Amino acid sequence: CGFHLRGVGGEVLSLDSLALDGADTPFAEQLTKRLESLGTRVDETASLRLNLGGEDVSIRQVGVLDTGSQDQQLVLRIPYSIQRASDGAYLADRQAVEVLEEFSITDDNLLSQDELRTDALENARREAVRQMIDRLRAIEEV
Amino acid sequence: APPEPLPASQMDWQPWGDDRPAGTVCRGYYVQPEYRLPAPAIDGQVNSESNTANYGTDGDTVLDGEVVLRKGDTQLEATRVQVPPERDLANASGPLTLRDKGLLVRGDSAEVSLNSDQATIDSAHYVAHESRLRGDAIQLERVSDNVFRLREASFTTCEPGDSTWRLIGNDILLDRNQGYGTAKHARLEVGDVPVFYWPWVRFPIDERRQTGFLWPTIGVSDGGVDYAQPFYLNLAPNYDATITPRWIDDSGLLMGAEFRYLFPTDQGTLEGAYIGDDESAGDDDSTTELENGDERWYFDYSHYGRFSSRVPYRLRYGAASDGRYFDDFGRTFGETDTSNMARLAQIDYLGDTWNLQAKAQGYQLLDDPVDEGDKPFYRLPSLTANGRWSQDLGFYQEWNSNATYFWRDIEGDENGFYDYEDTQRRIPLREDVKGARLDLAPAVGYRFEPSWGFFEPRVALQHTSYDLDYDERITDNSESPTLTAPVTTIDAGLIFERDFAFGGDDWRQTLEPRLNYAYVPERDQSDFPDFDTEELAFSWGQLWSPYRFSGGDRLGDLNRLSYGVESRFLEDQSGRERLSVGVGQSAYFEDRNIDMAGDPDTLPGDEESFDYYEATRDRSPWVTRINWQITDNWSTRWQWLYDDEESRTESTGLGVQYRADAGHVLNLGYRWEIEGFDNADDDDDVRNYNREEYDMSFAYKATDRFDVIGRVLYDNTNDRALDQMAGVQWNDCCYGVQVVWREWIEDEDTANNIEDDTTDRGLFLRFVLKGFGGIGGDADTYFQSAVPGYRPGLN
Amino acid sequence: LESDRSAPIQVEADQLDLDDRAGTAVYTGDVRIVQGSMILTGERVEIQRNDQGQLSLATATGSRAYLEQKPSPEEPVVKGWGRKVIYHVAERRMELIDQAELHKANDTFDGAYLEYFLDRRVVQARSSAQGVQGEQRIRMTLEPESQGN
Repeated sequence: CGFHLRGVGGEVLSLDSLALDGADTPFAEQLTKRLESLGTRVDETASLRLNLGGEDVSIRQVGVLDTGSQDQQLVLRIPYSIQRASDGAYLADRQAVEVLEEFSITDDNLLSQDELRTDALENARREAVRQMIDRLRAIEEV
Repeated sequence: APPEPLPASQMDWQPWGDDRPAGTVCRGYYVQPEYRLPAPAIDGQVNSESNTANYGTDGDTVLDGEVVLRKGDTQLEATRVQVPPERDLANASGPLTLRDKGLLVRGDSAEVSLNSDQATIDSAHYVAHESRLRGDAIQLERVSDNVFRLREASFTTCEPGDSTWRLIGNDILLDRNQGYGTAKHARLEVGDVPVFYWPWVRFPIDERRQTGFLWPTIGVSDGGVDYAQPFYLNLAPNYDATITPRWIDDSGLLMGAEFRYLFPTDQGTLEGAYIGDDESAGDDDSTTELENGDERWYFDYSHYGRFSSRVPYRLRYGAASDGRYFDDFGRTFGETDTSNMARLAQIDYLGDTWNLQAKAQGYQLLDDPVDEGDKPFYRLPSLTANGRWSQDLGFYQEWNSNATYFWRDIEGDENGFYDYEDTQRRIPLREDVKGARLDLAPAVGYRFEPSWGFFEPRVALQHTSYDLDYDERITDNSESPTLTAPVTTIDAGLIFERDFAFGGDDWRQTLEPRLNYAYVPERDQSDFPDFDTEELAFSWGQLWSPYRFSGGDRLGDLNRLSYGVESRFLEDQSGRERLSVGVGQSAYFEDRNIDMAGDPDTLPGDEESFDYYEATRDRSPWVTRINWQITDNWSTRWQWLYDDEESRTESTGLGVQYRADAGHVLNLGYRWEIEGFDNADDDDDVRNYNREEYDMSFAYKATDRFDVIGRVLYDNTNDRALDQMAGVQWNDCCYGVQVVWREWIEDEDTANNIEDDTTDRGLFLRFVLKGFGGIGGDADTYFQSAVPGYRPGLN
Repeated sequence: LESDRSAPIQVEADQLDLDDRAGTAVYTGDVRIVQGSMILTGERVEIQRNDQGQLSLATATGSRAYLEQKPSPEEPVVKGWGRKVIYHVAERRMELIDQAELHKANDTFDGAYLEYFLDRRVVQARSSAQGVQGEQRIRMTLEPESQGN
């Protein structure tokens, strides 16, 4: 049915180098590690530049009741744009990766809320890195 | 009183034609015409043009007939200008116009200095183009380049011809360098009706942070009229203060204050409020411990800083006089939900290998009355050291360690009994204790992650030991229980891909099967306390995680294999993920004996209960997760836990969102959860009914200026609306009005009893004078949390 | 200067047409007349003399006729241009007509019609005059701290 293992017989990412510019956020760190493990060098002299915005995290309480489990929605939004180094032309402008992660906390255990929020953020960040890689795959080497 | 304003055409006002950009709320804009004369070549020189010019014997120069004078950026147009021999000033008469960078003043007569920026214009009408300020004055005096004094003057940001509001004062000083204005004997007129009077007031005239009069907040609730008048003091470039006297009909005068400071590496805020005698403190409901006339206050201090880029630190200390403070005085619906005041002192070291953290943390629980049993523990302190080493082939080692002393002050007798309201309650033994906990989790693992999948075996050795103090509580529990257990996991997955065309576009579909085995042996934890631990409800994340509990006091035994598959559909052209579908289940090879009680040999007592079923089932529910961006505007999310053995849905959450380009938003939601699914261990917190809720929220931008928002959260099981809110926002060029009515259910901290639930309601009105103290503020954040995806534009 | 009136007049010109009876003389062709501190130039200059034979009126015309004179020993020279420059010697008054320009101390004037009274140091300027087509607005450049009189 046409399925083949990803990356077998051909590079996953056609970019062999990419300049990364943007806030030194944990997202940028993880993306760098993932790019390098897929064979894309991250260095300033690359022909393509990925401009990353900061991590915009918003947490919203869905329910109203104070007690019992309360559902929370964490939205991680990372604005980005991709520019050609040679003439500064924008291949992707004012784009963003947006990931929503749901988790629930109970009010009677305040102490574990930070841990649950951090886990949700880490999951959202892993998913955002994954989606960013998928988007970079769509950019052909220039 | 100031002279009558001039028609818009004379005030550089350019109404929008069909070139009006989308979403603008103003009906036009100010545009400064070109200068009529070139600036003189030599600085200080004056160019002039006129029909006639007479240079008299006494050295007077008199220019007549459409006179235009230009000096630097200043241009003066008048019917007649006389320049005395000293050439230090020009007296202009007849209808005149004085222009400067971004400024227009029209008047009847003027005296303009030629060797400084001084100018005095009588019966003046002025416009500051960028900040959209305009007004009229018996006399306007330009004191220096950007500072103007106006006598008997008016000031507004409304469009010419629109008299919605204006500030009138007999002595107004506008300082465009500093960005603020001050007025003496000032009164605020709304639609020509005086609304407020100040002997002296300072107000910002542009967006910068500066001293001044912030927009008033007027609310109406069951406490009567609630009028807050913030007054902002820009004490220095890097610190400022806002004093907010607030009058609440039934309670009296509440003095609020906020002090902020900003240094290169540190910033902080101290806020608080105090009312000496709140006349309506005691009459809310019978159970409160407050009486009328009580003192009520709150303060909250928070500070962020960093000693170096790797060493950030945070300080936070909040306290309130009583648990009902924010219920009564919370100004926005967001504030009324404040349920605790955090206390924290934390310092981190973020190294490449090691991450260290030392913190002291605690909370004041805001309940009224406070139930001793609900009081959270303080961490005094909590020391954490986590390290990670990895080698190229994918091997890695981790060292995770934490030592924390847990403490709280509760009054329970030696058997843990205490009185709460008119009943006797008991503190569970495992929570009626203080002590230190050591939590070590060294781990080794190997992560092999080629582009086509991943394989990660990992073993973590979890060691937890305690040094407990039960004080006078009678127990034969050990005071130094400990456990050591390996946590073994193997996580593996493959990623298949194929390209295909569908509907004229090229797509890429992935197919990602995943297997995850986890084994955690049983360890006796019946003597373990419960400081910060909770059993987690089953979810997609639980499929792939070996930990059934959050916190560090329980290590759930587990012997299960999870299997699942995820498929994603990506647009080939942009790489955007349009649809992702995931299905997974866990097969359990042994019962899960460890629950909050921690006894490995027992199962939950009531065999009919959901807890018992959860501990003994040999298949987890099927977890299905769908995330679909149907079109650019429509998107939907769905999570569904279905138990195929009992053929029933344990929990499902469905969300549909519509976001129109024009800014409209519609959210529809449905939530269902079987009773007992959210297995909290405290009875008060367990919902004793199947939870079924419909959630609808919308924001409709009727016109560029008028937004309507609404939300209904309906509890279908108990046939009641948990939250109803309707709001309108009128967003005009120089003012904004927000009116929100809300009614919501307070569950009085008892999830298992809906009889004691009460209904709260409030009307919230906010009148914003734009360009006169900044815009936005707390009302917006509430709108955004009530209607996800809504971005209210108040400017 | 006051003493100019009695100073001798030198004239350079390509051509001279004398009319003794009317007491007028018309010089044409790059004419330059100097009398004491006064200098008058133009493509055509017509001068008239009074009964005592002294210069009473000089009218210079041309694309850019020019008149220069020192109003008093301590003051800088006053210069005036115009398509037509009329110097009324007795009244010590000069008229600059059409594309007129006057430099007096650090101030400059230009426009359709400028009239300057040397003794009283008075300037009258108008943006229209007969014989001048259209309007030429009076433009001035004032030096604020000029020493004035």
